[in-house]
Amino acid sequence: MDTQVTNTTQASSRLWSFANPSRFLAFADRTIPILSIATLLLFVIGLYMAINAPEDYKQGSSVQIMFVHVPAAWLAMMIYTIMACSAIGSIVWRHPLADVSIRAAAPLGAAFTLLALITGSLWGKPTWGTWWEWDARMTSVLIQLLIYLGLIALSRAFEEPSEGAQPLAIMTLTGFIIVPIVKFSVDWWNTLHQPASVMRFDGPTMDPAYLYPLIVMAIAYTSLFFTLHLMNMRNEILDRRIRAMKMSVARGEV
Amino acid sequence: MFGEHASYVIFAYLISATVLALVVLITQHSYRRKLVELEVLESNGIRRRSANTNKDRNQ
Repeated sequence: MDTQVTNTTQASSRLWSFANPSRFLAFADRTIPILSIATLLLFVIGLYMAINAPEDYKQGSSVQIMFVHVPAAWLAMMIYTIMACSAIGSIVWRHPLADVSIRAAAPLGAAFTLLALITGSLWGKPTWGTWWEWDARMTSVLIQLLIYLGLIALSRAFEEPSEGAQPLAIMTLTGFIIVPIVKFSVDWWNTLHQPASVMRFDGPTMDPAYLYPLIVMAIAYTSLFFTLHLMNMRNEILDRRIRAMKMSVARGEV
Repeated sequence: MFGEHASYVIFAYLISATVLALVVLITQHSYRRKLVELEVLESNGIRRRSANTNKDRNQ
């Protein structure tokens, strides 16, 4: 019994030591260059495939907007899901790195959501004849952008980051309701936006000439996000260190 | 090259590239600024409390 408890404690302490900010910084310093090179290569391949994709018989050349619009829209949802998982880590284990992860991801989520809206609008005009329509998909994505902006504002509203960790995590989890609404809005309501054509239970309905470049571009976008997320987390940790040092000077400890 | 909707396609790619490049540049610039700030604080003899504790522990 005692041995079992000791093993569990050791495993748990190994896990926590990995999540130690100093170890995380070393991990980020090692990983960021590798991820950056991989992202660059994926973008070169993805863009080459995207530019050379054939024109669609209905949409014409505007179909090429899909290769920058769809990955941005997927990431807008994926990033919020990562933030919601981090929020659970912040609420349940009160781990500072989980809070750092939420703060680092929110601006990136906002950027990708904004890109999804702009490129969607640019796709909508030649395809549907309108820049914007207040239909369920577009409106729910706009609400998602507002939630991201609200979370960014909340993350900066507290002078001491640790004081803001719990409110930020709770609001992040509450806002997660928007993710299934965005995803299923095209199924639940009658929208101008087309229903899912890649992430379907019965497999993608898209022709490989469009599907393959889309997948490569989606991996490139995802790789870019993870690179930027690590970079932002590293910045947030350094920011906290600088703050701690300045506070110790203010308290006269140095 | 981009057919009849070329202006929409090119603008979509340009705006995506610009926004993403800006995010990368801002993040990288912020990192460099923080490293400089940390260096200045450390050169003034200011240490983090946990860094001091680790040092004491190693001695």
